Amino acid sequence: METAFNEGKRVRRGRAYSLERLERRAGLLFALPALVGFLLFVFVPMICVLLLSLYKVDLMTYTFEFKGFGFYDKMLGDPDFWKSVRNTLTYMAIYVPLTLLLGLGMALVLNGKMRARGVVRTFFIIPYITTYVATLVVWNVFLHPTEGPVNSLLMSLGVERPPQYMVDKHWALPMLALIGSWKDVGYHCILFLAALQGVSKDYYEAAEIDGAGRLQRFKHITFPLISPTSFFLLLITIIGGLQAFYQMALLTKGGPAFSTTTMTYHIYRSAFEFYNFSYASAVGMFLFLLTLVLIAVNWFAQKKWVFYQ
Amino acid sequence: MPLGSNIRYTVRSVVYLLVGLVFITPLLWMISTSLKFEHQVFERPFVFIHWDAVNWNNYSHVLTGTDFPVWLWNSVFVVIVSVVFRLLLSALGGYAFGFLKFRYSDGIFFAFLAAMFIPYQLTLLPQFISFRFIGLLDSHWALILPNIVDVLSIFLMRQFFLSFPKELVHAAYLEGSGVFRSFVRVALPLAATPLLTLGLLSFFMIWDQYFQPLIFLHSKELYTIPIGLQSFQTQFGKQYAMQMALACLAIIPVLGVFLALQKRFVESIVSSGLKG
Amino acid sequence: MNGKWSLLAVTAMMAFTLTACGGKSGEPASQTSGGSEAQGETVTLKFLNISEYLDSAEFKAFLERFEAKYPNIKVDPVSVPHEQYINKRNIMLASGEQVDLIWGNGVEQFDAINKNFLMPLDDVAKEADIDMSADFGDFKPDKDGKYYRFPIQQNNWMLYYNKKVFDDAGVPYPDPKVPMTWDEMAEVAQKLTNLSGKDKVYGMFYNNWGMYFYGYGSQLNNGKFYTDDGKVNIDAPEFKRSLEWMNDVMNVRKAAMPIAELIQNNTDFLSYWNGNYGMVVGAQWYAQLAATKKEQFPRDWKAGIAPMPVPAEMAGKHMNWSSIDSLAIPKNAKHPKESLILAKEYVSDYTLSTGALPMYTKVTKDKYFENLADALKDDDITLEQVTYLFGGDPDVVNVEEKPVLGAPQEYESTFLDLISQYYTGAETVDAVLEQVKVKVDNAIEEQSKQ
Repeated sequence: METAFNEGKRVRRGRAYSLERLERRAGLLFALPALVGFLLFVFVPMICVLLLSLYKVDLMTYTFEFKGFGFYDKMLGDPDFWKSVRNTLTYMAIYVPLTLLLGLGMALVLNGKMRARGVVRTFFIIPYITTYVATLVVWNVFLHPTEGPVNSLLMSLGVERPPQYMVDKHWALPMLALIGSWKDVGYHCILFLAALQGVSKDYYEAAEIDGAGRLQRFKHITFPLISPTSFFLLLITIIGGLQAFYQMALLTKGGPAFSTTTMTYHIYRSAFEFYNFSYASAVGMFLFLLTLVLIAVNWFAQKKWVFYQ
Repeated sequence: MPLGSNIRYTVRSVVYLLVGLVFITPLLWMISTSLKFEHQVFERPFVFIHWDAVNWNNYSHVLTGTDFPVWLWNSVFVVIVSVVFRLLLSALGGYAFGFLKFRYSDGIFFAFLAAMFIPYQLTLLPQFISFRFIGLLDSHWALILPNIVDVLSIFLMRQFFLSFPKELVHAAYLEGSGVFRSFVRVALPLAATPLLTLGLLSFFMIWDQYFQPLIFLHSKELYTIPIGLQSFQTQFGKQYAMQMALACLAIIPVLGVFLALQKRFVESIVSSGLKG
Repeated sequence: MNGKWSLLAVTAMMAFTLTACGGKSGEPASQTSGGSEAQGETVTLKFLNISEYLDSAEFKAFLERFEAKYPNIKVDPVSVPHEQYINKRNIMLASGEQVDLIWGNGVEQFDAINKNFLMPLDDVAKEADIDMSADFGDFKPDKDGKYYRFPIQQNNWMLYYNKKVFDDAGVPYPDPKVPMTWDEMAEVAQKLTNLSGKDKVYGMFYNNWGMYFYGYGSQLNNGKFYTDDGKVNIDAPEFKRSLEWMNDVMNVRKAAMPIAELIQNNTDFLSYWNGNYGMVVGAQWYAQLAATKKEQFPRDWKAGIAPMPVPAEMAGKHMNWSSIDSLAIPKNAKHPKESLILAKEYVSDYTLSTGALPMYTKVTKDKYFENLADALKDDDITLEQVTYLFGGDPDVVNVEEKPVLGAPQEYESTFLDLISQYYTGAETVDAVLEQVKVKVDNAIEEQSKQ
């Protein structure tokens, strides 16, 4: 510390390598709070989770019994676990593409020529910044099966048996994914918009001279140039989809008939409602691995479509 | 031709405006319902606002009948303290990993990144156990501390400092500043824009947190808005007009912050390295 | 120089914050442990219970009386809404946090027994001068010949009805002594239902609780929720008949709110008091509300009470779904004796003050019946009726209200999660019951292995 911050004179006199050394030492100090925090709040808990998944634990008396991969065996043989995996993947299959496409679409709208851009932009972003629990309270009433505004509208349009959303096992999960997209898409919209505004007009002018159509321009200019942003958002969306939790906790409690019990909700219930922390930790480790695999696949696949300038 | 395109342009804008309104229908409905009497909640035909008989009682009832002011204060406290420390930590960490570099910094950073993929539901239990041991349960610090370390924020600040011009800092060195001083004097002011963006994003995110207070807190006087809101919903069942008034109140603070800073917020995303 | 100081300042600030938090909540922890070390000093008991009880004015008044009577016992109430109760209880116990006394209904308390959370009370009870086998009437040990629960009250179920709805529909009131059969109730409910008015009036009110669906079956087979070898018996014909009866009322006669609406409304039992329902099968707390919370639930109609409906086979019998709310002590509690003292006072003082009859036999029943009848006199309810229905009839036939033996928490929550599929028409009753059986059998087996 003394040397690293014995500033001024030494730096001025110093040659390139000593400057580098100074920065390196300072770097460690700068990173220290983050490292300590990381260790305390991420790394150590993660090791605990790993251990929890290998031991049967009585947390009231702190007795431990080594079980090896017993809880993983149990997990793999548990139909509920596989249902939760399927539910998570179904949720993602709707949430990920919908959020990305909608976000891009909204950004394209905002990037075009239009009046009242600021107002429309605000409308698009508002759900993202509003309090999730509050919006879920609203959605719960909004989708009320018999009297809610959505079904009132449907019934006045002549639909005789409108869907029962949260109580219908075929509707509940897609609706939750839809609500998730609605909530998050504002963030995607701003980031896409930022990327679009970074695309130089010159490219388009050149393309126009070449006689490229609108679709062609998007395909050959816009898409490649915003692909780093798209990739970043894809990763964020995958993580968000895998960890979706609020809608299940507040709207459906994982029901009806287990249809909205995603992996995160399954973890939550196993741990806190059924008091099986070891099993929950095993499912959690699986979810962590699944996340890593999905990220890795996309990381390698990005070479095919992401274009870094 | 100019006239025709002008009309098309206007029509298109109106269409987009309508699309935007449809997009926030649930929230418009929330506002409308919060100003109605209970028996008007599902009325047909639908009336947006009964101008001659606006029912402000929902609001006064919620403000006097619940602990909303307490929740609001708690939320504000937790969010502001969390965000300030998070920004500090992210700026320092980002500068270390992106600009200064140190031995194994890239390797360590990748370990950091992997942590981004850890579902937070997973680490909650060990956190809970350790908080009990150091006696932090049922206090706001149990919410604040885990929020301070945010891998995504450190990542974004690192991205920003990766492309930070070396010359600026080196010039500061030549003027006699040390590493820390040049960070404060040169790097930090230039990082104000991404920090503002990060701060806002973190603000919205932490304001939203429901799971952590649900598990870490049990004293009602420590409740933050989301958990208070939920307890209200269970408590009052089918009083929709009041639920909507409370939802409105819960949203107003974040909406206010957003509207006040929206221009800079969006611009800063455009201009900063935060786009990935 | 400057830079160094700024860094120091930052470090100091972080350190300060960390110690500040440490100091803040370190306080209560040290208080509890300190109390346990020293003999004769003040003991602080953490009492976990639902907010419906702990946040009431009656409880606050009780606490004052209690702490005046026992100056060296302090009570730290932890109140949790019933919806989150199980989760919160598990979390607190799992974290090793000292909890001294926990409340629970039958399902929750047996769940705690099965999960090995609780301390057997037999020995401690002697110290606190309580005889578990004699002081609570006919109360049997919970598991392996040991008592784990300190019973609070026995639920007394009956039929509540809204006299105005009956008058409007021109239907005579139910007999105060002879119970209706469920089939008669379905017919009456249909006659009372009027969905065309400004406010929909349903003939029957129910909650999304298990007994409203399978309770009729429990009366038929004497609460046989488990087969003789401890497996799930919910697919027995008696339960199926019970569920089909409910389907008839809800979906064919349309005399009860569709389940989709009920769930989405978060309808709880308080909703009954808005006056738009003809009848409800409810336990004694319905009357407590009617009697003691008039300003909170104002009404312009009179309530009536009658014995709960019974299957045609049991016509004329006075039946009850028996379920016992109780207090229990976690096995790692440091002050079990003081906890039992609190439990004893809780049932004999607080419970009585809320208008419920404790099972503890050392309280006088007559006074309780008189008070309750007095509070219900505006509804033209007599002392005789109150005594008969609120626990004074020695001939009442008790059957289990809910399954409590194997994996009770899993049983109840799985059943409720799946049953909506039958009532929304998505699945047949057989398919639903089969799924419940498979899943809960699995859970029972898991738990028996542990």
